Amino acid sequence: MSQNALEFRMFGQVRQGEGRKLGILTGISELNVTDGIKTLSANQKRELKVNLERWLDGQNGPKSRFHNFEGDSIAPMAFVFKASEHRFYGYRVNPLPRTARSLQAIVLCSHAIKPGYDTDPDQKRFIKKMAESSDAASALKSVFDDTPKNAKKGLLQWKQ
Amino acid sequence: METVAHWTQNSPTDFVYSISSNFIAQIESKIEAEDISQNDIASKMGKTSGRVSQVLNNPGNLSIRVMVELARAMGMKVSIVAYDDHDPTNENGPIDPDVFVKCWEKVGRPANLFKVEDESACDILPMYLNNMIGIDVSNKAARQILESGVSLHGYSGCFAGLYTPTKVVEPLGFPQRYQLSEPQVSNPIEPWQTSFQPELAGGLGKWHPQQSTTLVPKENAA
Repeated sequence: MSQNALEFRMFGQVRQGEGRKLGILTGISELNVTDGIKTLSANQKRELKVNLERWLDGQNGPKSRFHNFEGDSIAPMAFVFKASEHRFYGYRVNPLPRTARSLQAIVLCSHAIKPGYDTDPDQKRFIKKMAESSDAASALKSVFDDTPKNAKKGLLQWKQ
Repeated sequence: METVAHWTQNSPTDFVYSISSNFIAQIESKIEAEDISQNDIASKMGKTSGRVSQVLNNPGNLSIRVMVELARAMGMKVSIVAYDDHDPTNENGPIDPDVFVKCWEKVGRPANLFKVEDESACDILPMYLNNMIGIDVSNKAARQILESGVSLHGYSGCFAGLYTPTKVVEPLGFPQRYQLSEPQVSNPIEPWQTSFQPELAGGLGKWHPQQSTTLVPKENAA
């Protein structure tokens, strides 16, 4: 079995919400969110943090700050956060479908400086690929344990 | 356990940026919801469209005056709120202003502290009725009851002793409803003369329930 090159970690510089979580996927060069953040000015970093926290706090807009791609033919699961001309793309997922059905998480994948109004289709294709990747899913599983409490207890008792 | 301060604790500049940016987000939400152009805002503010764009894109440099000008151009108002969220070391950062707005809207947009008390009563009354006599009443019905003249200090006494729910059976036998009956008090005391202590206030108070007030027993509530 090959070792998973992808790693998921929670975004540490913002307050994580109760119903929403946000993290970064790393491990290959296309997963460049960390590099993208390094290119931001001080105010752009502040802007990004405000916008991430707005979503984590339960806000659904305005679209000038972040939005989903619901109805998109390529990547309806995609999501984008904005900071001036910078765009941070990711996808929305529930990493705990069994133990926290209403939980939402955004897995940030890539950074781009947006040249025009429409999102680059290659960017969306990449997000779709990551959202469907089994390596990305297992990277998420290492952070989000979806084992029901009773199941854990049962397993422990069985082992004993 | 070591605690980590929120990023807005790094400097006042960070804190100012956070609250200013969230203020601008409120304006942007209104702009999006009502499809208002920056030109419209600019003409109402008596400024150029470029200046409006600059204001929206640079929240870190907002003055209170510009915030007020912007809000007024949108037909909105601004309040500056200081609050204590029991977070002296700022581990959690500032609270989103929309939390305050939603709470204010939820209690009926009170314009002063007297209204806040009245609206709180609308929220408390259903809980009170449920606990004391086991019936569910909507906030709307609570408002109707309170608008009939019962103050916060009076209604608890009314429900504690004066008004026994009367079972009303519909022609088909379902659903069952309860109506509040008229009180049988020889020397009624005005609501303001009673205290907010149901056990002491029982039997006191005066209230004329509106005929349309219907209380649904808990087991029949949807």
